[in-house]
Amino acid sequence: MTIKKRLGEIIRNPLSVYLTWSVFLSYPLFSFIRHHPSPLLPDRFQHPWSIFLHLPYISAPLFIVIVLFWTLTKINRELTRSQIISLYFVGISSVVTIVIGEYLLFLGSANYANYLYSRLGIETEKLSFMVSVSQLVFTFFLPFIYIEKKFRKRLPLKVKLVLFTLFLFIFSSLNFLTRVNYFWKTATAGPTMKYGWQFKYITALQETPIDAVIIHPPRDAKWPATGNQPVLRYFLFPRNLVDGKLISNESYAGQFNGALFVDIDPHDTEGVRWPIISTTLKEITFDDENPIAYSSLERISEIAGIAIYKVYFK
Amino acid sequence: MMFEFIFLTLYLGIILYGKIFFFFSESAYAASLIGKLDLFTSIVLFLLAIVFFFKTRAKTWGNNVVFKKGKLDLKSVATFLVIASVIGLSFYLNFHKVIQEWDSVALYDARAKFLESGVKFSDMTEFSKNDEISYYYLMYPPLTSIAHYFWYQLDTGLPVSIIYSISFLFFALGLFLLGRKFLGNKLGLVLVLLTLTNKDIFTLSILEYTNLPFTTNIVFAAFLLAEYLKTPRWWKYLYATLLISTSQWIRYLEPVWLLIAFVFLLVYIRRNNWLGGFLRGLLMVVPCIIGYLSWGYFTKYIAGSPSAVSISLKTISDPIIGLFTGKVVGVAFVFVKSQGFSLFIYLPLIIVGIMSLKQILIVRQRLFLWLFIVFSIVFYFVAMYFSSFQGDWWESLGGSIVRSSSFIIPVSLLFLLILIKDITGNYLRKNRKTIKK
Repeated sequence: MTIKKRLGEIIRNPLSVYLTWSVFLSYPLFSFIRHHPSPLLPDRFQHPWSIFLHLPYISAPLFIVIVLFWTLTKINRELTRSQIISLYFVGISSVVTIVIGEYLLFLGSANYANYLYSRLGIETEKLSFMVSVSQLVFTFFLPFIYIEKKFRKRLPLKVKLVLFTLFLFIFSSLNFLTRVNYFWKTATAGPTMKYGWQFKYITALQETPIDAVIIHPPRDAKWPATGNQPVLRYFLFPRNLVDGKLISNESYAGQFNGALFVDIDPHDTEGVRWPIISTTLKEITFDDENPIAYSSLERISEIAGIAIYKVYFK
Repeated sequence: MMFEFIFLTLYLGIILYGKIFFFFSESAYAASLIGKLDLFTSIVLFLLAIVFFFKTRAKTWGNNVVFKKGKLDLKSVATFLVIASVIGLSFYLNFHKVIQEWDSVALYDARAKFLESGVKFSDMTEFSKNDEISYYYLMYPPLTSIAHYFWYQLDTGLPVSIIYSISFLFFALGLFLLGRKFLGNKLGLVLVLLTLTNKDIFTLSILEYTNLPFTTNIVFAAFLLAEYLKTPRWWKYLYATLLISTSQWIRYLEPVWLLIAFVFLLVYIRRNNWLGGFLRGLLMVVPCIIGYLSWGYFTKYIAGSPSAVSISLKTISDPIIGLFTGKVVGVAFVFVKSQGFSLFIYLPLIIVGIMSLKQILIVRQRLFLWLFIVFSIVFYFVAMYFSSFQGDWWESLGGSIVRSSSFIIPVSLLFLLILIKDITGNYLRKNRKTIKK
């Protein structure tokens, strides 16, 4: 028997589908065993056993190649009963994977980061991959095989394309389920998650009088929220806001005598210090470039280590 | 016919109410000719559509039954329940949500809060006088902020994001009422289900952006125009025109009104006389131009806001030169990447259209839907290409383009389901013949 024939035999055998698909599905099991040591198992799947943890990435494409061989080539004119049963197995197990996988992903997002790994040893990225592949197989791949086998000769290409698009739409809709988790995260994210850690400076500025004039950092990636005047105005309205970028000379600065500003990252621990204050030279740099002389600088409040100053220019 | 007419009248009535509110709150705009002309045109289109509807209705009064009584189909009930759950999920998420997206907060909701404290749109430019970007507050038209303002006036105690779930419900209802004209009730439900569960569409329902109302306007207009090509009724044409022209008071950046008008006229003129096409074109394009000019006039001359996009010889010549420097390939790559999965849905449909061009050319509504999909994709690609010469930020436009081009999804689905209906119809017919033999 030639190698080609031998290979054909192996591919045609439903065992190849059972094997590749089962290996694909067994990733969580390997991860769990690795994370929960047992004297019966070889050293928590350390090298070279850790190869098992990467098998889903190898077995999923292998599975797809095998089934495509069944479907598209002449190697297999009609699907045998045992082959059909193996595809039923794939269909049912992919639904189970989607449901359990989605539930675990939801648990992961509802708790702290790294929750799944610390409790079960499962990496979120690999689990998401498993769920996506299962969805693709269930909504798109299996119906495609069914249509291709059942109507291969009778349906023209354009009709197949129409059905193909319908399956893509259905896949896209099922993919919606995987996003529920993301939707929930987006909807319930707090302001710090949305605007970053610097939001605490905005909260501090909310304590200032409503008729105050507030100078804020220039629009820059270093100050994503505190340097964005429209965002600041939403939280600080009706206070009058002045972009620090515009305060580049004394004559312009003079019109804002008595203005307030918040001292951002004063010790420059995050590399986003603003403004640069030199008490020895009595100068402040608001625009990141030009120091402006001031006549007096008064610390009007300090809450939880966040200082707010009032400045009078010369 | 009655149901979709009542539904659209209600929907457009709400939009017109927003426009009237704006008109009377801005005295300088109300005194201007273009301001008066815009509101007058919108109201005339609205009233004319109602008159034409009742005129058409009078001829067939009592002849047609709107909903046929039938057995309660289990599959349809299940589909309906899933749709209700998806809309329910949107309500649930928005109920627990605090408005936080950057533009939602800084622009749309901020303007509503300014309105509440008595600041008019024309005064908002004043806020930006000490900011580097001074056009921000009038970069987008007023209708979404007016909706937020109305919601705050109602004082329901519910978060403002709920209005996007209500809009989502309106969108679903409209899709069904307009879609079932082509597909019947069962496939109409499938259309709604597949549209609402599309992640790009659902995302719009939990974002306080202009995209959901804009998509609603354009999709309803496209469905109405496709239906008009099948059964010409003036009220449908006038409502479609009103939907397109008012969409500019929701989003102003991309001239989708020009695109849809162009595709419709292309299809209409192919089979009808030039004069009829010309008059219809005029009837659609003139209100759109008035809508376009009125908001432009307001921002520039009444509010004194600088333009967000500057057009010069350089902004036109650079993209032309770019065609020969390979830039177009780079933009195509980013475009494909940003559209992602959606493009895999559109492409087979475009290919199917090319393969069955002969049949599509015969049925005008299909030709219209197909051309609208094709031209929309080209339109957004060209928009991205031109934007790539405006600054380094163009690559970040992907997400925004996906959101603003979301109207292609329900239009593609309608086109696809019409084809599916055709295929299953043919299949059943053939099988019936076989059985008879």
